[in-house]
Amino acid sequence: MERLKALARFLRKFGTTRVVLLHVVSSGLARSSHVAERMKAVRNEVGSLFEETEDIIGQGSPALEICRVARERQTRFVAIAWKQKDFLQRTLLGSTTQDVVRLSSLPVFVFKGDVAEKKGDELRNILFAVNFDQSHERIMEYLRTRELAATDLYAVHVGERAPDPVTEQARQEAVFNRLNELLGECSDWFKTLKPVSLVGNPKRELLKAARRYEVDVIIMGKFSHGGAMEQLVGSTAETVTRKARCSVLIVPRTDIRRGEDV
Amino acid sequence: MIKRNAVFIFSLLLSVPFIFMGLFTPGFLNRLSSIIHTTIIEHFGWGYLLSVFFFLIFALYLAFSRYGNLKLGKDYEKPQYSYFGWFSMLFAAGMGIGLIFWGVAEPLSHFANPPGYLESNSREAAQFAMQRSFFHWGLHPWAIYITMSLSIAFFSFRRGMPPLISSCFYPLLGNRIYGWPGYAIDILAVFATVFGIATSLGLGALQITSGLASVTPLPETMAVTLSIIAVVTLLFMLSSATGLDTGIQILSKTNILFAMILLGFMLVVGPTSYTLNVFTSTLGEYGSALLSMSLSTNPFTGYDWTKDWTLFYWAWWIAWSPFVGLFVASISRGRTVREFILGALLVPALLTFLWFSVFGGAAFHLELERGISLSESVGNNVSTALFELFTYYPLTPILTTLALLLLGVFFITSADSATYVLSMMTSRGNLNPPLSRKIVWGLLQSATAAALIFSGGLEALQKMAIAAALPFTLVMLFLSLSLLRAMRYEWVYERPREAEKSGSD
Repeated sequence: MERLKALARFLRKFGTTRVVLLHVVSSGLARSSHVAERMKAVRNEVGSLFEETEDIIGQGSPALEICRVARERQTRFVAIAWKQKDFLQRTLLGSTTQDVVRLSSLPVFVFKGDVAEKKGDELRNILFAVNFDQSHERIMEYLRTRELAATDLYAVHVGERAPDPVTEQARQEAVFNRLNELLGECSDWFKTLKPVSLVGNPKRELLKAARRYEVDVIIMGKFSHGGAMEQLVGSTAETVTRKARCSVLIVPRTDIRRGEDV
Repeated sequence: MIKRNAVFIFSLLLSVPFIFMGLFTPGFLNRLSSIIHTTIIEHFGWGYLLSVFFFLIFALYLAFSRYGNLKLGKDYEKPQYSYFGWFSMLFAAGMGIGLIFWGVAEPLSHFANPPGYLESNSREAAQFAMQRSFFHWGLHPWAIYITMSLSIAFFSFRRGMPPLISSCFYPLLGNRIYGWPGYAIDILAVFATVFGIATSLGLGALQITSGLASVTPLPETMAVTLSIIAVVTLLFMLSSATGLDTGIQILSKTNILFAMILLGFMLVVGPTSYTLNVFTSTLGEYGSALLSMSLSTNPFTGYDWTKDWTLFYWAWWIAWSPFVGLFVASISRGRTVREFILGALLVPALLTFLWFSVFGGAAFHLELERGISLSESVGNNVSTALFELFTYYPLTPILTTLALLLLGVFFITSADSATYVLSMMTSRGNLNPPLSRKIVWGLLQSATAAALIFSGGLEALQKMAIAAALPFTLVMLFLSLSLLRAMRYEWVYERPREAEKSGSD
């Protein structure tokens, strides 16, 4: 319950006014009266934070049900409280959060409560993973929220190193120019804006940067290019969601071409 | 100062102790190199087979992929050398001298000593011998060379970096190529090249001495061998001083002409139909067994044979690849990736197949159809195999002289190109290295070869060169990844921008 309350408070920071509380039960296994009681308790606890609250008890595959309800209720995003699973659990049982990140066409907010609670719900640093694929327009909506009240914004781009030093220098300059342009659009909402250009494996570098800058939330776009490697090891967004020690907001863009590097 | 010449200084510091060991304690070097060599071949043989097969697949993939259209140079550049000049130099640097040495000797060696599951001196052994000779000298060695030379040519001519192996690692290592990781790669390349060249020169000189002894009254003595090294050194230094455009090119073209004359003569005067049957049949068997041969370590029976031949060759080609790779890259500017790969993979391989069919076929004709045993005398002295074969043909002295001339010129072109490559590698990729550096490397190689023949440490040093192949295999695998990343970057990010720019113009 405490985690859910922390999540609700956190969602307020993203300007949330209406929530749909959804609990999915496996058909035949759950006692409906018990679930209904728990849902009522949750609603009582968090309802006062929002203007409008609705609770639903669904049945079937949790990930599919979450995506369906979110679509039907036209929510702005899906928020899930992260539940840590070890390798064996993940391999044998799967992860609902991972499945939702993979399936959802709406933004998915994965809340890793422990970290936020330690800092007293305080939001200081936000890492904005930039892929220059126009998904930043959608991400900006979340960054330019009054209630967010974070102080530092790190715009991090992880690119491929160019084949030679001259081209690489030009690429780095172009990356910094574009990051500064993007940050300029957020200058009214943050005290410090920092462009960061990294080279290497996006998953690894984003996670390292999140630790280095002690960020509270990673906000990133998601694009599925359907490659064989992605099918096997998962997308960058899925891996970052699983391995990050902080909360993650994934903003999917299925209607754009793959990210353009500079 | 040290940083500027780090590769030169440290490669010398690393090589000299081994050379001294070869000179003063050849027995110890032999024991040391044998332990290293045997351990590597015993435990990592499968790794060589997998890696070399990967290089072949990688080369074919690049040739037929979208990257095949990329040019090894700027888009407007044209090839620097004609096809004939290019093929001649490719062949001279990559195979040349070895092919003269092993053209008859290798099929006969496999025929007399096949793996345990075949009977010696049988018709099956002859078939096996031809197939494996094609295999050891065919597509695989060239795939190794192509991986190396394509990377160097791409990064230096297209991306404007110095022609060094370390340059090819920029996509993976970034600016660390200008530090110790980059130096380590270049030093390893120089190490393998110095040892490889010194031992090749020594073994080549021994073969020329044997050949001369069979056609002239000159005795097969140390003094003659040392004199041959001295003469060859003088000639290759002269060739080296004239530069790549004249020296090596003219010598290589002349040599290919000589080789064609010798090949044509043997084909026409020898058992022509038999030779062409051997060629056609072995080509078919080679093609159909390519996959199984590429990956067969024969763990149940014949593993020793695989270790002695296939794994030795694979390690040798890999150790040789920095030298051939750099040289082949330097003569391939202006060709497209597809043209380069198909040209360097197919033409030298076909010529090699023809060479083995003519010379190996002629030897088997004597063995199997006329009952003349060559394999016994070849078993005693491998370097005399070709000259032994000539004694059963008309115009023996002329053929032997022509073969000696071929050997000598290939010897000169190999030493010349090695000197050029070593000077280039140790002068930070300067395509026109200073003459003084060429002289230093040239003299050092010849002096080492001569001294090692004297001390008997030639084969021990050769094993050290081959030992360098193990780390170099890893270097080459990462090299492939780096090249692929660079080509992908160009295709995915730069091409669309260029197309957009030219569209808006």
